[in-house]
Amino acid sequence: MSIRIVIADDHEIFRDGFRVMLKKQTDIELVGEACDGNELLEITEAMKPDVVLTDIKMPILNGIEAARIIKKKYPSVKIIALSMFDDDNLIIDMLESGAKGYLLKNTSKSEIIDAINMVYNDQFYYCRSTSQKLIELMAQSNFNPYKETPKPEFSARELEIIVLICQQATTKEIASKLFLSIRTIEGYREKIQEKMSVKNAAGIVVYAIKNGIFRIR
Amino acid sequence: MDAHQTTIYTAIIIAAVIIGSILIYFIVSLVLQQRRNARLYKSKILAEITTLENERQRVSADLHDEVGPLLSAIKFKLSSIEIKNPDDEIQMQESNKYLDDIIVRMREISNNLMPSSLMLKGIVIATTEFISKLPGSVGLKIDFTYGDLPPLQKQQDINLYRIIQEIIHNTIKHANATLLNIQLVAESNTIVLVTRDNGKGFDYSYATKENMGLGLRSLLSRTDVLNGKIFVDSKPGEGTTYSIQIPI
Repeated sequence: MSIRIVIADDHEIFRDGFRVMLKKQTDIELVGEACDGNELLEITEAMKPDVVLTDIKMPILNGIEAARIIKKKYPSVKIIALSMFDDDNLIIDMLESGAKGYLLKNTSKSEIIDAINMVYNDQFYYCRSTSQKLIELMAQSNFNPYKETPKPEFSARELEIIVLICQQATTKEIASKLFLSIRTIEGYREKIQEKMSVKNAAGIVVYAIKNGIFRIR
Repeated sequence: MDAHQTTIYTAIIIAAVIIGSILIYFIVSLVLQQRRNARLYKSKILAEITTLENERQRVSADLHDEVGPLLSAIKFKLSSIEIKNPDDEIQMQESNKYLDDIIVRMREISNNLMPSSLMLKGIVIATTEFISKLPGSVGLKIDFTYGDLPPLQKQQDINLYRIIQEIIHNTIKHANATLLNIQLVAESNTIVLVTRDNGKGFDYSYATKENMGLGLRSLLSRTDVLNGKIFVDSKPGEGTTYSIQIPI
């Protein structure tokens, strides 16, 4: 069974590039394309996709409004926001209207596939190139994906490493600070990511802030 | 008083009235001309600033909304190509890296021209963002506080943003300060912007008399365009305080 997705973006060339990129991907099937929010609602109604990837700024009905409606009418459809870099404030609006993840439009193919798989499995996805500023905005926003999930337990060592990651320390810096090898830290990192069900440092930081493990300043 | 004297007096009075009228006429027309000039000057500055900001906004939006998605599309298309030759693979990776650099650089240019947050979210968020993006190497701590502001017109948002930018740039470039306080509040129908730095200060009256810098000139004309008032309090060695009031 492949994951059925729909893409919405007002640039035909962008959709074309997206379609070509996923053509050889057997586990993901692009079942529809929309050029504005209204068309996205129609296609979602008709195709009942698993995942919707939508641009934020679109004519007629923007991505934020469309996400809100989809979330309400078809709660099983997962939404990923596609954003042109630097629109951090718009990404927050998308998350608050129910998107389960966001990707910057200049992201790589492997990351797009990761993101689709993650949100399909009901997890959140934070783009790898998430800026510090966006993390702070997320920490202050109403968006909190961890309200109802059971809390995993972290060991003292894990908590120490989480805080260091939040302070933007690299794996190498953490290793030298804790007198451990880089490989050990990488092992810890992976275990932490698994426990939080996130994919990267951005995910760890947002989780830590939202769950009170780390406080900004 | 004989007839001869009366004639002389009458002549003097008539002459005085005529000269007086001419003088009054000249003075009045001089004042009117001056006012007309000031009005013309102001509308010229307004037109210049509006044209400049509109152009900036257009170029910024074109880069962000038109060129950006195109570059992304190229990236997607390239990533669908399967390469067997390892040398080609390296070339492809490098090209991808260049493409990423272009996208990042384009974002910076677009954002410098006109931050999208200013258009979408207004002065407070745009200013916070601008301050957070300043490199740490400028060595200036900026403390930005703000009150509840009513929604402003786009022109007010843009000009206030540029005024704040200009003050920050001036402080970094000339003041030799370590701390800059920026306060933006609304007081009954007025937006009040007060900034204070702990730098070396300057002689304001001298600076405005002797060939005024572009930065200071821009501050004055943007305040003027917003029908606002600007007060500059600065003495050599005592820091600089700008206080700007904009009616809303």
